[in-house]
Amino acid sequence: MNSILKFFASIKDRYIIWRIHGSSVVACLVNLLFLCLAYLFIPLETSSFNKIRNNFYYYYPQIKKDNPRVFDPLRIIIQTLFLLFIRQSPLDKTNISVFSAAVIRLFNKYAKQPFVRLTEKYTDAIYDKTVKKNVFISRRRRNLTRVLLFASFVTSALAVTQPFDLTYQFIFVILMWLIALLLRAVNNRVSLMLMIFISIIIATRYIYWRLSQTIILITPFTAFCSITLFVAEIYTYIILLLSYFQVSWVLDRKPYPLPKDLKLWPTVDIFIPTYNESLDVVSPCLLACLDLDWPKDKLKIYLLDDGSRSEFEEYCQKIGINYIKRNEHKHAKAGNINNALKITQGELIAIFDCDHIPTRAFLQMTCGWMVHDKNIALVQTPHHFYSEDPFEKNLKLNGRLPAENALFHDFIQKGNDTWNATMFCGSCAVIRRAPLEEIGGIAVETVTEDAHTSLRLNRRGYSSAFISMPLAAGLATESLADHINQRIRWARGMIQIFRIDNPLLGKGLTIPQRLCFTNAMIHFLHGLPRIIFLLAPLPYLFCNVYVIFASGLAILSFVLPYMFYSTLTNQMIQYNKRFYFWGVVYETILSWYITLPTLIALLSPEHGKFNVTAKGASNTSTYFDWTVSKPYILLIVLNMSGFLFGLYNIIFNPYAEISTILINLGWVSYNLLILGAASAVALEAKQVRASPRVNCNMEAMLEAGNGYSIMVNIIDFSKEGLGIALPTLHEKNQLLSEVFHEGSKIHITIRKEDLNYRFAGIVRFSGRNKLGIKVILKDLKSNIEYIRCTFATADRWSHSYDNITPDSLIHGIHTLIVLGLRGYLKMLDNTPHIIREFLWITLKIMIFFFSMLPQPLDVTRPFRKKKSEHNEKQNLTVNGS
Amino acid sequence: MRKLSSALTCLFCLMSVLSFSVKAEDTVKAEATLVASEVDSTPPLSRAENITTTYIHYPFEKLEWVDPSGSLALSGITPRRSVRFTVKRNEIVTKSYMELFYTPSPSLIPVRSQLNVYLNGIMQKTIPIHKEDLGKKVSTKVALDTHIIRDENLIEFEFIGHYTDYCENPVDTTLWLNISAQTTLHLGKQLLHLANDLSSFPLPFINTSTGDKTVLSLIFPQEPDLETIKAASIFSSYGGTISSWRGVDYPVFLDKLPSEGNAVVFMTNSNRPVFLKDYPKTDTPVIEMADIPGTQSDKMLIINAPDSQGLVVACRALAQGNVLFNGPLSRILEFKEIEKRKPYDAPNWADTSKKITFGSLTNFEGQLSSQGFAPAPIELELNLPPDLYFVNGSRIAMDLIYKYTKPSKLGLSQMRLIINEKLIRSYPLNPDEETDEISEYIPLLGNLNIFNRTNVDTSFLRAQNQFRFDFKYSLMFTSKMNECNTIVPIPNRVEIDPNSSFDFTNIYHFTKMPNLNTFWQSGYPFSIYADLQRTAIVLSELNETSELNTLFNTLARIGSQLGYPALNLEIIDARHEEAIKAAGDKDFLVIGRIPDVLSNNENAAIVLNKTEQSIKTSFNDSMPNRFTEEKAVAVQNIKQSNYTGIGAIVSYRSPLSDERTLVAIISDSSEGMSNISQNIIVNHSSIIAAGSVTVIDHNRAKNYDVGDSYYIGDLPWYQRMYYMLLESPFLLMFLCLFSALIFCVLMYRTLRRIQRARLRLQALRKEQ
Repeated sequence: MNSILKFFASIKDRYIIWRIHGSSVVACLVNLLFLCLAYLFIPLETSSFNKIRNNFYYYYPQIKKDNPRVFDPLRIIIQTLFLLFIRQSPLDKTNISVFSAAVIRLFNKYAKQPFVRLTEKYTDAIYDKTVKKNVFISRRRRNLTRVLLFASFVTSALAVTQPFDLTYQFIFVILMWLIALLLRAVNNRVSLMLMIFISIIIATRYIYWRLSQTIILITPFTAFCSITLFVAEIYTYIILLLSYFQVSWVLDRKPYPLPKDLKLWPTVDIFIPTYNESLDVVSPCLLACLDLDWPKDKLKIYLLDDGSRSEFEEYCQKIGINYIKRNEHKHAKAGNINNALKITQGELIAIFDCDHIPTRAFLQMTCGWMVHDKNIALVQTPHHFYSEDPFEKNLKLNGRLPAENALFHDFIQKGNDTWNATMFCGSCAVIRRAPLEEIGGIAVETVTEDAHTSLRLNRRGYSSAFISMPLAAGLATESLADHINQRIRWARGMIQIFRIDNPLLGKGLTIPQRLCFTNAMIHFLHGLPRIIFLLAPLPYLFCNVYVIFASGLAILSFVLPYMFYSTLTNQMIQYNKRFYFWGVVYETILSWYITLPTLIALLSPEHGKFNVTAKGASNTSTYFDWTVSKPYILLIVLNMSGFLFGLYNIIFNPYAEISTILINLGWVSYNLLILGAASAVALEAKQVRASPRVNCNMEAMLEAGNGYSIMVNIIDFSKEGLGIALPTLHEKNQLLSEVFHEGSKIHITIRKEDLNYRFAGIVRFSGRNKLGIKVILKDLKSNIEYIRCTFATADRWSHSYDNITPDSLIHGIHTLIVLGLRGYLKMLDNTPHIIREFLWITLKIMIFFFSMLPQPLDVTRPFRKKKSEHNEKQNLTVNGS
Repeated sequence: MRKLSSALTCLFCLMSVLSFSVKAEDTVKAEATLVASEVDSTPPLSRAENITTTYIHYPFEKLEWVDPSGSLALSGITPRRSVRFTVKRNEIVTKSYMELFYTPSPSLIPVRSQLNVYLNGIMQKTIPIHKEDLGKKVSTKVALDTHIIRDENLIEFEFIGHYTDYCENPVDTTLWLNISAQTTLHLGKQLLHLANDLSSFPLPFINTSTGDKTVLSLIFPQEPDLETIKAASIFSSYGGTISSWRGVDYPVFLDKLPSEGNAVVFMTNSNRPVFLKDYPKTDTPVIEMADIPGTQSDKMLIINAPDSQGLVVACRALAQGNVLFNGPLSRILEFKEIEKRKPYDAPNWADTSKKITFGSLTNFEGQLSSQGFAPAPIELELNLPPDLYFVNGSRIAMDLIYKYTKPSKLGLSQMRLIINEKLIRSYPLNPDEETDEISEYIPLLGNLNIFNRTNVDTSFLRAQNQFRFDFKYSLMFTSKMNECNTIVPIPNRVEIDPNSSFDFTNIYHFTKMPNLNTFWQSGYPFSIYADLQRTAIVLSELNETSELNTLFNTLARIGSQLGYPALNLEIIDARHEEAIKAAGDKDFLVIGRIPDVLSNNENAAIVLNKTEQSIKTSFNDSMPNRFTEEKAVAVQNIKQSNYTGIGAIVSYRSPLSDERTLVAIISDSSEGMSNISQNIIVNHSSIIAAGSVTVIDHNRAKNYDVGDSYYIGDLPWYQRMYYMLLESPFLLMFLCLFSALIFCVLMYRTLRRIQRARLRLQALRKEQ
C-alpha cells in the first residue's frame, strides 16, 4: 500500500515539475502514460538499466530535460531503435548499439583482420624488398611490371565500359560498396590506394555512362541543359582525379636539425609588409619577431610600411626595428617586398603578414632544411588563425570542426610537397634570396603574387619544402563579406596565373608539378559548376526537360556509388581536416561571387584589382548580411519553387513520372540544405572583443595585492588579457572572489622554460570560478615577455587539431540537416514580419518532422554529466528561437 | 402491323435493287470491255465454258477483319463493321447468299432498331429487329447480288440501335448487336477456262489473291540432273517470294502428271517426260503455258531448254523478272547476270544500316492514320535480321511524331505504344496542347534482347515485330436528367508522321548457334545473303520425290521470308565428296541422309545420336511439348522402333568451317520427309523449331539443345569481352580489384621511392 502511494506521489511530483517547466497538460499526461507503460513492460528500475537511466539525456539528446512534448514517446522509440541498430561514432565507448556491435565484431573477425594481416604482410614484404635493400627492379621484373600494368589498364577499361543490365549494375554497385566498407575499416595505406583506384574506376564508369547513354540533343534547350551539366560534371571529375593524385601519399616532413656550429647559420631578414593595418594589429608581430630564437647578429627585422605612417616609424625606432617606406606604391605587397629586397642583403628572407605572430622557434624549425639542402628555395609553414573564421564564428562551431583553411594548409600542401610543388602562401615562409633575385623578385603580374613566385622558382629547378607545423598564427578574416573578398582575389589571381604563365605549358616543371599547380588554379573555377549543380534539377521539374536522359533507377545506380565512393575516399584521405559536406558548403558560399571574376580573368587576365582584406575590426551587433546572401536567396527561391512544383506534379498530374520526380526532389532538397547551410553563415555574430581569445592550459601563480597567492590555470589569453579558472576551494569561493574583486590589482607569474615571468594586472571580471584579467605591460621587455609566454611559445599551435574527432557519415548528414534548417530559421528571424508569418508554418512542420529523426550521439559531450551547456545548444538548433 | 412492316421492307428492298441496278450495269459494261481486250490478243475459243458449279462455304471465322473469336460485335460507338472475302480470277460466282446469325441486345426498341447489310457498298438487305428477337440468337438468309461480286469484296454491317425515346447516349452499353461466328457465306462458283496467256503470270500458277496456299506440282523427267533441280529450286524460291505469307506446296512428280492442279514441267531436248516426248525441240530456253491434257482449267508451265544449263538460265531470268511475258510462249534470248546481294539486304528485312522511316514500313495507303470515336490502332510490321545483338545499353531510338485531334478535357486520353503485344509506354494526349505535333524520343532501354544470353524466348523484340500505336480517347457524353442536349460526337482522327523513324544503326550482328528457331523464323543463317549465295544444298537422292518436295518447300519458305529468290544457290550431290569439300566455306542445307564428310566429327555424332534417340523414344512419353535443354551426351542407343513417319531438323557447326552452320532435314522414311515438307510451308503449321534438334511427328514437335554452341557474327573483340562479362558482376568486381591491386602495389613502390627521395639531400638539378 505504501509503495503504491509512493508511486503516486512520485508521479505527482513529476507532473508538477513538468508543468512548472512549461509542458502542456496533454504532453505531461502522454509522457506519464508512456513512462508507466515502459516501467510496466521493461524492468527499467533494475541495475542493468542504470547506465541508461543515469545518462538519459546523453542517449536521447532530442528530449528536453523536464520539459516533455507530446510526441516525445515516439521520439524515444525511434531513437532507441536507432541506437540499437546503427553504430555510433567509433569513439563512443558506451556500446549502446548492441546489434551493430555484434555485426561489427563478426566483420572484424572474419573480414577485417585477415585483410589487415594480409595487406600488412604484403606492404612489409614490398618495403623489405624495394626500400630497405634499395634494390632496383631487374629488367625482367620491369617487363613483368609493364605487362601487369597493361593488364590492369585493360581490365579497368573493361570495368569502366562494361554495359550492364540494371539488376546487374545494382549487384555490382553493392559488391563495390561492401568492398568500400572493408577497405575503410582496414584503413591503411594500401587500402587507401585501393580505395582511390576503385573510386576512380567508378567515377570514370559514371562519366562514361553519362557520355555514352544519357545525353540527348533533341531540342536546342535540352541540348544546352544537358551539355552544360555534363561539362560541369567533367570539371568535377577532373578536379577529383587531380586531387587524388595530389594527395595520394602526403609527405610528412619534419624539421631538419641546424648545424651545431652557429657560424654555419645563415643570415635572415624578416620582412613584415603592411599597408593600412593599425599599429595595434602590427605590434604583436613586431614584438614576436624581436623575440625570435636566432643569433641577434644574423637577424634583421624590417617593417615595410606602404602607408608611410610616421607613428609606425617612431614605434619602430623605439623598439629597434628597421623601417622601410616607399615613394611610389606600385604592385602593392609584391612591389613593397621587391623594394625592400634591393635595400637588404640577408641570405634568407622570412616573410610575415603583419597580423601573423611567429612563435619563437619559427626560424630554427624552418631554416634547417635550407642549410641542409641548398637547392631548396622556399620553406613554407601552414597559416594558422587564432581568431575564429566567419564560419566558426557565425555558426558557433566552437572549434569542433576543422577550420576552413585547414584542408589546404595542413594537408594539400603536404601532398604538394611530395611532388615538389609546395606553394608560397605570402606569409609564414622562408625564401632564399639568391633564387628570388634570379627570378626578378616577387612576381608582380598577378594579384596572387605568392603562388606565382613559387611557380617561377619551381620552373627554375629549385625545390620547395613544406613543414606541417603551425609556427605562426594570425587573424582570420572577420566577416563573411571579407572572406568572400579575399577568395575573389585569390580566384582571380590564380586564374590570371593560369592564363599568363600556364603551369601545363612552358619549361622547367615536372609533370606532377604541372598537375599540382593546375589543380590549385582550376580549383577556383568551381563557381559556375556549383551553380549549375544547384540549378540542374529545375529544367526537369519545370519544363520536363531530361537533363540526364535515363530512368530514375538507372541514375541512382550510377550516381549514388560515384558520390558514395568519392565522398568516402576523400574522407579517408582528408580524415580530420575537412568533414562531410563542408567542402560543398564552402564552395556554395563562394560560387556566386567567384564565377564572374574567374571568368573575366580567364578571358582577359589583365583586368584585376587588388582589394585588401580588412582585419582587426569588431561587430557591435548581430546582423544578417542580406547583401551577401542575395544570390543564395534567389537560388533558394528557385529551388523551393521547383520543389513545390514537383510536389504539385506528383499529386495532381496523372502522367507524372513519380520516380524521376522523386529523384529530382531529393536533389533539390539536398541543394536546399546546402543553400540553407550557406546562408546560415551570412548571419554575422557579434564580436565583442577586438582581440580574440585563444584557449590554452597554463599553470600560473596569481598574487593578490595583499601578498595572498594561489596556483591557478590560465584557460585563455588575448593580446590584452588572460582568462583564469579559479580552483574550486570548498567553502572559500566567496573568499576568493572577494580577494580578486573587480578592479583589484594583482600580479601573475607564468613559468616558461625554467624562467618565471611576472606581469602586473587588474581584474576586469570576477565570476564564481573565473577571472578576467587585463595585463598591464609598461615597457618593451614586458611586452616581449608577454608575447613570449602567450602567442610565441614554441609549441603553441601544434596541438590545434588534436581534439577534433573525425566525422562519421551519419553525423555529417545530421550536421548538414541541422545547419540547413538553422540557416532558414536565421533568415526568417531577420525577415520582415509578413513573410515570417507566411513561412513560419511550413518551417515549423519541417522542424517537427526533423525532430522525429534520430540523433547521433555526440561523443564530444562529457558522459555522465548531469547537465551540460551543449545539450542546450543542440536543442537550440532544433527549436530555433 | 407486322405485315405492314414486312411489306415496307419488301418495298425498300425492291427500291434498293432498282436504284442499284444502274450501277450493276456499269460493271457489266466494264467487264465487257475487259473481255473485248482479251479477244484481241487471244484466240476466240478461249471464252468461258461453264461446266459445273461447286459450292463453297466460308464460315465467318475464315474471313478477314473479324474479331479473334470469329464474330463481329457492333455497338453504339462502333455501329459499322465489315468483313472481306476474295474470289479467284479463274472463278466466277453464280450464286451467293449469306446465312446470318445474330443476337440483338434485349433492351433495344423493336423495329426502330435495324441491321443493314451492304455488299461492296450496295445495300443488300435491311433487317428490322423484332420484338420476339430481342436477346435471342436469330438466323436469317441474306441473298447477295452476284453481279457486284468482284475479286475483292466487302460485306458491311450497319447497326442502328435505339434503346430509349429520350436522351439517348451512343456510349450506352446496352446498345449492342453481335453477329455470330456461325454466320456462313455460301458461294456457288464455276471455273473459267483461262486463255494460255503468260501476261498475267504468276496467275494462275501461284495464288496471290486469296489467303489460300498454292499447290503447284513440279514435274521432272526420270532421273533429273543437278542443274535441273537447281533450276527448279530457283523457281520454287521465286514462287515463295510471290506468294509470300500464303505458302506454297510443290509436290514433285517424275515423268507423270498430277491428278489435279497446275504444274510446272522442266525438260530439256534430250531429257523429257514421256507425256511430252513429242513436244518440239528448242534451241533457246523457252517458257510456255499450256493446258494440261484431259482437264478443264488446269494449266502447265513448260520450261524447256536445249540442255539443263538452259533451264537454270530460264529460271533465273524468270526470277529476276527480265522475261517479257506476252502470249502463250516466251523465249529467253538474252540473260543478264545481276550483281550478287550484300549481306542482310533481304527486301523483307528492315535495313538496319540506316534509319528506318515509318513510311518505308507501310504496306498500304492510309496505314499510318486512323479515325473514329475509338480509332482503330495503327499497326506496323517490322522484320529484323534475327541475329541483332542487343545488350543493355544498346539504344534503339524511336523518333515518333504524331498528330491527333484534341481529346476532351474530361478523362484521360492516351496513346499506347505496344510492341509484340507488350505495352511499352503510354503517352498522354494533352487536351490543352496547342500544337498538335509531339516529338518523342524513346530509347527502348532495358531488357531488349533479340539475342539474349540465356533464353531466346524472353526476348522483347523479335525477328518479326508488330508495332501498334493505340490511340485511346476517353468518351464522355454527359447530360443532366431532364435537361437533354443532343451531342453529336465528332470522330477523332490520329496520324503518325511517315518521317517517324527507328534507328537500328550501330547494332552488331552476333548470335549463338545452332539455333533452329532463327532458321525456322527467318531462314538463318542461309538468309544472311538474300540470294543464298553462301548456301550449298546437299541432296542424297535425286530421285526421291519427298526429299525434292521438302527442298522446294523449304526454299519457298525462305523465299517468302526474305522476299528475294535464291538466285545463286549451289546444289551438290551427297555422293560427291570433293564437291562438298570444295563448298566448305558455305552453310550447308542437307536434305535426306547426311554424308559422312559432314557428320564424321564428335559434335555431329552427339547431335545425331540425340536425334536418333529422341526419334525413337520421345513421342512415346506423355511429357508436355516444351523446350528441353540438354548438353549431355546421349548414350542410350535404341536400335529400332515400330513407329515411322518421323522427321527431324538438326543443326550443328559445319565440320568444314568454324564459322558455318549445317542444317539437315532428315527422316526415318519417306512419310517422315513428306510430313516435314508439309509442316515447312509458311503459315501452315503450328510447329516452332528451336534449339539444335527438332523432331517432328505429324503436327507435334520436340526441341532439344545438344552439341557445342558457337557464335557467328561481326561483333568486335571488345564487344565480345563485354558479352562474356554481361551477367557476371562478381567477375567484374574481381577484375576491378585485380587492376586496383596491381596499380596500388606499383603506386606504393613508386610513391615510397619518391617520398624517400624527397627527404634525402637533393642534388642541384640545375647542375645535372
